[in-house]
Amino acid sequence: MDLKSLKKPENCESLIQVTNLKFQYPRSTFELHIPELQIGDGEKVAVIGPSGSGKTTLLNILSGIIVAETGQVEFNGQQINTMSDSELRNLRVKQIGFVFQDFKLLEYLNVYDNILLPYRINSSMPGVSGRGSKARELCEHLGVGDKLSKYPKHLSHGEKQRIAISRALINDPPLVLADEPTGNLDPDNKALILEILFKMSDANNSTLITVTHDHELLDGFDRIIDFADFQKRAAL
Amino acid sequence: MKDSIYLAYRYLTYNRVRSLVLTFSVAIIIFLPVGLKRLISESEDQMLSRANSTPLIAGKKGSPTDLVINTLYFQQEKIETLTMDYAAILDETGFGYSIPVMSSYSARGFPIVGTSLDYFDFRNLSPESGRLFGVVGECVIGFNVARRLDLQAGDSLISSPESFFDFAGVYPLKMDIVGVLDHSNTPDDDAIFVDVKTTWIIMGLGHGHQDLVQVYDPTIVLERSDSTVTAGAKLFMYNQIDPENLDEFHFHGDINSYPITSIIFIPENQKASALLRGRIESGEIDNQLVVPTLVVDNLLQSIFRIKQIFNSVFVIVGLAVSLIFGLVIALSLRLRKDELYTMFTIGSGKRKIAQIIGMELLLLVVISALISGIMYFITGFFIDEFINAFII
Amino acid sequence: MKQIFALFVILLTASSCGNSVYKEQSGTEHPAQITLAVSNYPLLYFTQEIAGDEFVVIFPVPGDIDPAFFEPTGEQVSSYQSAEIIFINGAGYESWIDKVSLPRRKIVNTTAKVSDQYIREKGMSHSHGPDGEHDHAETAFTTWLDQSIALEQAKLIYETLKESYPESSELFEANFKALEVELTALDTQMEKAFSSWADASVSASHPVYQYLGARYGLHIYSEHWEPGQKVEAEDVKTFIESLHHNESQLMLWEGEPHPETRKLLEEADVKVVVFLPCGNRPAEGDYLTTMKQNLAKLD
Repeated sequence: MDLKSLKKPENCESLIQVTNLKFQYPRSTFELHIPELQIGDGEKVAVIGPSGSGKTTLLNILSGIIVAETGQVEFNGQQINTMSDSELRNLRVKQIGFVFQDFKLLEYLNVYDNILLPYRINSSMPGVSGRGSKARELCEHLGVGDKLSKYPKHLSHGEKQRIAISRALINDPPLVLADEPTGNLDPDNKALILEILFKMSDANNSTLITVTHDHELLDGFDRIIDFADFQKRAAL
Repeated sequence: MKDSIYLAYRYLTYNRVRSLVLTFSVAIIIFLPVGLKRLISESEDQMLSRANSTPLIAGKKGSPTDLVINTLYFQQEKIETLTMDYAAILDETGFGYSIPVMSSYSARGFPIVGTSLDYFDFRNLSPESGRLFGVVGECVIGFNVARRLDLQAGDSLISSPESFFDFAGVYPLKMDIVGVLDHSNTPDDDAIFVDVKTTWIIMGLGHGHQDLVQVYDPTIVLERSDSTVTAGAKLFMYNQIDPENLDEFHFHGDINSYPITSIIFIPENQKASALLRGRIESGEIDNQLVVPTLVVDNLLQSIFRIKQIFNSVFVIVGLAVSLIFGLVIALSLRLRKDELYTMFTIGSGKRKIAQIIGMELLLLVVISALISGIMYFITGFFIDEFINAFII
Repeated sequence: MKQIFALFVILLTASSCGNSVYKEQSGTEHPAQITLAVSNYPLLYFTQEIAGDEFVVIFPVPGDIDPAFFEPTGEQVSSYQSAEIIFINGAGYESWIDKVSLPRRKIVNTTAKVSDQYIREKGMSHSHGPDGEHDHAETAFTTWLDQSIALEQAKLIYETLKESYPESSELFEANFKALEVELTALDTQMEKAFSSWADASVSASHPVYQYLGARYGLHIYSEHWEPGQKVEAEDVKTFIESLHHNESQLMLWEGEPHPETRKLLEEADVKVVVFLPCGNRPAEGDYLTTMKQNLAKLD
């Protein structure tokens, strides 16, 4: 893979800038080393690589869940590796949407409450009042408008992922991090979900970073970052 | 805070069974000691109230506790009887007046209490319907007796035979119910009151039969002389008293030698009470004279010790339940680790997550306390009946 | 100055008058209508004489019934129950009292203090069952015919009323003293009237004169003859023969005998005197007048 893949296209504003990042889990021999990484506004980036290569770790670092000891991570012009815990969680809830392989919907909340969850779990967010229409709009758009009162146990995998995407997009984040979003879906739903993610990214001009193992679905991405290259480069 | 409560509420209502089990467990463990404390406290109050309202009780020498329990609460423990003339002896002291009590028989599970009309004035009892007894064979029933047996004035009750097989012993007397007493929330609600002479008829000390002087049936009259008539077993004894045969009822021997189980004595004043007690203690007058308050107080001390034991048990049980509660919560949190991590990932702080979990626990405890409070409140409606039925 | 003094005197006088009026009123203050009950006419008479008009004395026995054999109805029992004090004769007079329920503390046995003077007589016994023989031993109960006992009964009524209603004790005392004089005089008169019959053969139609006999030294032999009912001539003859031809023969009847019976007796020189025991209300007069009339017939 060309090193150019690590840099954003020239016509994109830089959303994420990683410089000389080094991270190692405690009591682990694996070390993630990213000398430089840029991701621009509105870019759809796929992150591939072998298991254990640090793909999810990267997402966690970019979202501030993990703070690297060495290097700089800049998000939307802010140094996130020097932010406080409350600043980091405010960043996540307001500016990042998350989509997970296993959906991670709360079983005891119905679809409507699941989508509006970000508004309830962080006191820096405004209240849920007035957000209901946005939730309904997203559901309608994603084809699950009739499921608002249902509970996750009554939904198919595909429906669950669409609701998780609604939750991720409810507050119009500039960045969506999707970790294996199609991992638990059948082939038809895989394509459907990726299509949804791409469309929403285009519609909102939001950056999409997707970790995936589905190489047959890489066509739609603007860039592919192969972590196997990182390992080779690190070795160099 | 509002959102934390909402999420906590959603979690609890989704996991309905778990929430109900935990809520009721905690509610019961809160209610039990509080409810028991109330029950004991009310029992103590009622027992003491009953005792306080009864100045003195005279009886045959023996257990003061049995004497008081028999007289105040109509628990028909076997106690020695004294004779009716003792009431006159006490009256003649001039220190007050006597109310004889004969509580030894029952009808349909309720004690028959033979006494005089003064008892009703003394206890401030009056009929809710009907009237007080006027002649032997009539009875007045307590409020609960009427309700439980579905009886009213105009109905009748048959006294229970002392021994089913003892045909020569106490035999049933059919008593006419002439009144139902007002609800008093005392053991009087659960008693059947008759004139003390009626209990003597039940005992067989008085009876009614054909006038043997007028009977000439040779199968009934075995022997006759100028002064004596001897009748055989064929002589029919009336088992009900009515206006037609009332005149045939009579007592044999001196009525003053007839038995009573106790005497409630109402002294004129404290001084009279002390003087009378002095005379009894000095042996000037036979038998025993007890102050019910002292006896019941002594009895309650024993109950108090049992209450202490119960409290200790409840503390241990409460601790155990708390530990189990804690374990359930801890296991629940472990199972919810993924859910909580999701919340953290999408932007919740640890403090917020703790707040949500805390709200779940708080709601559980608040609802438990509420349920416990409702149980305590409801108990209040039944506590008097429970005490009268099972304790007093 | 003089005017002030005059005013002071007036005020002082007025307040004194007020005080004396208050005392007078309190001295003659009577309780509200209080009901007393009695079981026979002599007690009615004594109670009314002693208590005065402020008390209601009830005596529910109908006029044509001997109170000793009274069988009260439920309503009559209720009227006794509602009384503040129930004066009974005692000595077994009230055979009904063992079958009714009355407030014990309200019952006052007017012969309680003279129970050592009760006269007991053997009644008819009967036996049935394992208890063996038991008799209905009878106590003579016309106690008031002994005027000394009647006085004791009146005295007990007085003492009871005085203790129960002390505010009227002066009235009770005055009334009792007047009654005491009358009864004492009657006792003396009876003693004198019967003294001339002390050695005579005195009999009675019914055993109701035991206390009369005991008090006034008479040995009375009693039959069981009902006033107004004709006694068989044979029975009268047997009776007369039993008198052992005593010169002086007196027969006391509690009511007017059958004319034929009277005739048979008088023909045998038996003086028949209707001596009303006065257990119930007399047709005319009162207790004292009736007793005096009884005595007058002995002459």
